Amino acid sequence: MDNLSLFLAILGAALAAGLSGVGSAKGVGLVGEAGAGLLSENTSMFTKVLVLQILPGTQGLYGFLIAIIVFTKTGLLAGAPVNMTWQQGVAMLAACLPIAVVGYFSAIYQGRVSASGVSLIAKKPTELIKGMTMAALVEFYAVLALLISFLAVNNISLG
Amino acid sequence: MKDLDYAYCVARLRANEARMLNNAFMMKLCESGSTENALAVLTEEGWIREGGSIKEITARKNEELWTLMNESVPDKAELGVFCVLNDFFNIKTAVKCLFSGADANNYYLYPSSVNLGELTEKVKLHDFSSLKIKGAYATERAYNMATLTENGQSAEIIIDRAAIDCLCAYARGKKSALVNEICGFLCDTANIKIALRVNALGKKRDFAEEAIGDCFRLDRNELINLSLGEAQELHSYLLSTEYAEGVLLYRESTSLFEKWCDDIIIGKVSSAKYTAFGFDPVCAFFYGKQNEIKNVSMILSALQAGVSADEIKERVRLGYV
Repeated sequence: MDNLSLFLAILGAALAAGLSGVGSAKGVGLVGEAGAGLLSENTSMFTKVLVLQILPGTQGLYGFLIAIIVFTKTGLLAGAPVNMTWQQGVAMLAACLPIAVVGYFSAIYQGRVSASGVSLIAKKPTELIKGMTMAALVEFYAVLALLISFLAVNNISLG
Repeated sequence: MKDLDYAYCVARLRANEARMLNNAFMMKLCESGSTENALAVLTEEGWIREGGSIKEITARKNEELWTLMNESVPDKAELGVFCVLNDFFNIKTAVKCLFSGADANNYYLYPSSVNLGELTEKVKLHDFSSLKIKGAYATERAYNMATLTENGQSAEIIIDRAAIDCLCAYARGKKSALVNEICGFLCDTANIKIALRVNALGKKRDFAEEAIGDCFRLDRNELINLSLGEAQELHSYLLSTEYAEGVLLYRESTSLFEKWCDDIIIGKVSSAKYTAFGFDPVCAFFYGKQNEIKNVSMILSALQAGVSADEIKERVRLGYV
């Protein structure tokens, strides 16, 4: 395994975990801000706010999951990297990109929808399900990206 | 400030919106029969927590609103747009009280973005250059004019004109389309009222040019020229503008015109009910809440004066919720 292929695989894992993590942090942070605004007026809404705040956090987990799979597959987790060509390194990097890119943007947009959901439950506390459903629709695309990255990483034959 | 910076603010204001009084409640309040009954209804609703006179209740609610706005918005300087009329009124008060010897603190309006203690002091000391407010220049001009002519009216005109120009500047700003619309509307309606008064009192060109300020959707020169001519021509011009309905009401009574203005503003801000982030929902909440306080105050005062429920209902402004 040459250094370049190892670098490319690690870069892919770093982008998957990093970008979707940043996106999730932004999304969760935004909902947190909106949630604090609502809680400053009505503390009994904490559980509902928490449910909405959790939603944009999943993209970070998806990216983390793909990074772990890459590390396992390349043997980095066990400390014994497998032999890879540079083409396999590029393939590994490309496989990580769907969850990296889609994870980043979908987490931010999901954060916006969830923060709007906080405003919705501020006015109509019984409408949490509607707020959650709208936010969950954004999640759908992150799940698709996760699936593609997962299948691609798993189907790259190494060694 | 980016729209998303208002996430905390908007969510907090939405929670407050849920507690705002709607039109149906206002009608119920009109029918309560007496001020005591109305106060009981408001207390039951949780709108009033402490007793007091109508003036005290209104002042307390305005103060609560202002505190909430200050605690919620990411940048307090942005609230200046809501205080333009009060700020300039307070400047006028400070100058007038200096000549009349009255205590300006009894007449100041709240909320105000001007430090009123400082304003009183600086006006007393004639120290206008260090007055760091939007109307500093107008204050100095008004003071000099009042000293020179011993005529309070010319000082008032200068300050009112500065207020209109300030509103017009906000109307042409880039902060938010809604702020532009509202400030532009306030600026134009203020100019219409002045033009109609100029016309009715047969004032001269100098006066009209000094009093009529920058316009948003009206033609200032045309407004000045027509205000100096035949009343019919001025009315024909105004009736050809988007302010026609208001002009017709102004002929009937100024209070109907004021109600029309408030209703138009509520109509303009209503679209912000569906805006998730940004300054527009803040603006909408402020005007909506202010209208609510104005409505309650008007209803309580009317009930105290023994006005019939039907007449009170005619004067009730549209609610935001």
